[in-house]
Amino acid sequence: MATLLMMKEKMKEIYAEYYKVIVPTVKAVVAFLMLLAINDKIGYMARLDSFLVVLVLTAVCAFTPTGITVLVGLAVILGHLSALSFEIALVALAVFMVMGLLYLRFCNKDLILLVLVPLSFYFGVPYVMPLVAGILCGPVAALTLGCGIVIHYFIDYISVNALTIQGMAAEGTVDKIRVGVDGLIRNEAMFLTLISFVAATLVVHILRRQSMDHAWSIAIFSGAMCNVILNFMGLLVFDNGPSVFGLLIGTIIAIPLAMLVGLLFMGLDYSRTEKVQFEDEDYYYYVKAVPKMNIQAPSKTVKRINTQRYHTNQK
Amino acid sequence: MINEERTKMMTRLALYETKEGKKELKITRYSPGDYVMLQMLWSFVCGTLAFVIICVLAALYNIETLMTELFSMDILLFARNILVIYIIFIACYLMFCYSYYSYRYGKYKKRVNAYILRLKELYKHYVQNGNNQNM
Repeated sequence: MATLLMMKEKMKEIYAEYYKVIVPTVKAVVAFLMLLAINDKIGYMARLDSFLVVLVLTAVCAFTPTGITVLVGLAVILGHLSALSFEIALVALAVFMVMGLLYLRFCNKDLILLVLVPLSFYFGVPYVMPLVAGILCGPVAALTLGCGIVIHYFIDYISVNALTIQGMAAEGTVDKIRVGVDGLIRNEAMFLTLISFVAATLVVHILRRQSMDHAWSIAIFSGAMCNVILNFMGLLVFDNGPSVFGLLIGTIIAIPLAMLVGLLFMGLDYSRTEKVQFEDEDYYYYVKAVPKMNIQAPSKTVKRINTQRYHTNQK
Repeated sequence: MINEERTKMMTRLALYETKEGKKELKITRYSPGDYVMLQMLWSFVCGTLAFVIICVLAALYNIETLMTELFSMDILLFARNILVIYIIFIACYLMFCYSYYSYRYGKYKKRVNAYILRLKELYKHYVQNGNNQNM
């Protein structure tokens, strides 16, 4: 535990010193993985599927706010879907607009979840997301999590039914719209995941704010159990859902991952060097505020063997 | 000589003003009622637009049923049902928005009050110690 805390302090120290490099690098990595995942799943437009375009968009996302990364991701999704079918792209645009108008006005800080949730599904670790969102974010993050789940399942449904859509007649506008909307309203796996993830996020968030010992550990375990129980109940009701084996293994992997993330990032006290300037009647002040570190790394003691004294004693 | 205590106080105030204070000071210039009403007005517009988009999608999904039953159904009853659904939807959405923005204003107001207290402390420091200390 002390080693992890020291590691956290070391990370804070490195972040405070090199945040100008670390932040764009992390944003670039997330954007790169997002674009690769989208191209892998629904890469129907050759122009957007090229590595050069991916690199350019990654560079753009690295040096712009997180909202731009989300917008780039949504635009790339729409671009690929428009190459598959204009009607499907229209349905996707309608879904994104409804999300933006109703929910995303409240979720400025947690917008990155819209990218991380589909990425977690792509890399096979989805069950860590509600636990991490519950620990690190507010209750409104459950809405963003839900939107991310909708985006993932919609893309997944379209990629599975792409051949069917391509085989439809060009005049079948209504049929293609119906296929697109069915991907949302008849997607039982999506509803099950939505309910279980949102509930797990809220359980984790409520419990970690309680004033009891080991609140956040209890919160993570409870959130994971809530997710498993709701999924089991859903599997009895719905025909489609996650596999039981995948659910259990995924939850077992998610719990220690979430605890590690909570230990390293909870409290969001990763402060960095700040520069401010102000004046009074007598002086202009140019101040650099450097964050203090809490835990001192163990100081190394060097034992010197005094050979001169040894030889003197020998005489 | 520079007054260290005063410099620390001014630094903390300046840090707040350049970071969270930018947004919070701007929002708390409104009275609570005005801020919440403004946000609810935006929410009403956004909620209505979202409802229209959902209705258009639903209409396109059921276009064949609509076209066959358009002339046989009671259009006024149909319109009334849509209106009732809209009113329930927008009422629930506006209630959620009211709670969210009231909570947000209260949270920001507390921080701004703490900032104003620190400003007053700085002013007291000036009055008690005077400007002569900086010469």
